[in-house]
Amino acid sequence: MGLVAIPTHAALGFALGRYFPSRFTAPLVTVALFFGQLFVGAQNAWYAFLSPMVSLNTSVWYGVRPDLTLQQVFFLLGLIGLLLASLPLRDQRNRAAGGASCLAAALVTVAGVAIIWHDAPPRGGQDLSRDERFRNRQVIPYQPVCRDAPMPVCVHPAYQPYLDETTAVINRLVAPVVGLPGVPTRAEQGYPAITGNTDATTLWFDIQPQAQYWEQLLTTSVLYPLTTQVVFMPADGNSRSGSVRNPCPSSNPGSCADAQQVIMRWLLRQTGLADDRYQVGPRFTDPAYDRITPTVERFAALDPAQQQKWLRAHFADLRAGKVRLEDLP
Amino acid sequence: MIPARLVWLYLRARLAGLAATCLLGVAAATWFLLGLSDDRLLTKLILIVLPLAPAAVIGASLRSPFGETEVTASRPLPPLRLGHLAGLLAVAALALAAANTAAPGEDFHWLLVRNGAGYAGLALVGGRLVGAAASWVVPVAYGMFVVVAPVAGALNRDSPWLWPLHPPAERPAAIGALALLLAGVAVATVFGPRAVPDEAP
Repeated sequence: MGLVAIPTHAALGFALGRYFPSRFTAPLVTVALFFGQLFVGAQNAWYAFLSPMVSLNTSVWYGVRPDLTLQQVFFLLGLIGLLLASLPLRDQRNRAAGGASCLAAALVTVAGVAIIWHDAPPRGGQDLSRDERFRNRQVIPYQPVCRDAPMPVCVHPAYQPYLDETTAVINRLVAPVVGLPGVPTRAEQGYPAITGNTDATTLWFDIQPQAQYWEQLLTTSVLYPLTTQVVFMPADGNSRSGSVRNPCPSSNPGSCADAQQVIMRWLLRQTGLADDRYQVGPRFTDPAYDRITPTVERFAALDPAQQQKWLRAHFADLRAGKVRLEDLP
Repeated sequence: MIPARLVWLYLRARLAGLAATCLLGVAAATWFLLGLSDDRLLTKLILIVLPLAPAAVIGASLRSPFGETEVTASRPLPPLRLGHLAGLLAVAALALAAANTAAPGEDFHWLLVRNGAGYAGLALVGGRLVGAAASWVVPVAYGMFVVVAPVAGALNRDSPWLWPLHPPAERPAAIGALALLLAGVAVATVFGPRAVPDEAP
């Protein structure tokens, strides 16, 4: 649409320059168009789609939503026709031909606006409601790309550049528990609603790469969801929120068993990324954080063989919430 | 002493009256849009983008249809140029300051004036670099960069290159805008716009 918007703006500038020939026309039209398309595109209304700068909901799973490209191009082409056809109207001799062309182009433009009005969601693109987002939407078929490792990791092919780093970090995270009874055997980007896979042997995570925050995003969108699934319970099969839902039994993290949080923080430390206060999120700034810190330090100071021995014996109970803080070595 | 008729002809050649009318019109439109906006982000967008219009008008008004003929006149041009620019800048500053009152809140005070001053400086420097007719391209291109760069992740909003995004209380941004304006006025006063052949009225 942006490509068609350029000749449309040029046609508008040319037409206005013909009607109002002045040294100030070009700069004022340029600024007005730049501001106008930003202003219109920022509105939470159907007419935001008349601007090429409208916010759209995009994802590799569902594509661009709502995809009104054809309707927008139809509207812009009509506008180009209308603007150019209006030029001969200044000339007495061409007035009839110009009027007819103008009328035809005006009809196309109005039809374009009407179709956009009909097809656009009432509150614009970025603000799609949950229902609008998922109604009649099929996931774009894809074949995940995987990397073999003690815990194999699969991602959407669009995220292949992040696969190696993600695999390395995930395997550092789960290394102490991989192979223990009940622990999932593979990790995959996505969530059950997309992949249709609801078995408990898969850990779910999402990747939301933004170059400068890559490490933070890796922590919040990959490691934290994975750790909660490893330590607490399998992911909720109904989750379809884009990132894996926190499967903690209550929305208050402090209500989860302290012993589980100890092991969770210890696992997060294995990745060597950031300090575990950040890794478990700002919500964990409750008194439980300080209360369990000595136990985390004590467990971390144990010999790896002792840690393994304890995990093998107690990990199933830990996941079930049956291990108390004082039971930890 | 410069004869009043010479001043009058100089201003007329540069369509100073139409330029001042455009400045007042732009300020009125800005005031109207600010009053209409109840969204903080949109208000900020207005305060960042719309001062480009007065700057573009001031840049375009540098152009004279007489070119070399005027340069060969016996009267020195810098005082006339300075007076012309001072007048337009004063009109723009007062009009934008009045329009800015429609944006309530400490975060928006004087933003139109500060950003307009910096953009005007760029337009005046642009006049020397590419000629008066295209002088507006420089501030408009910079304004587009300011809007797009942080969204595209090219620069952080705190970067000194994006001074129009900074809050009004931030002194470096105000100093930067003022420096640009002074540089532009100095260049436009001493050298005038670059002479390029064009036919625009």
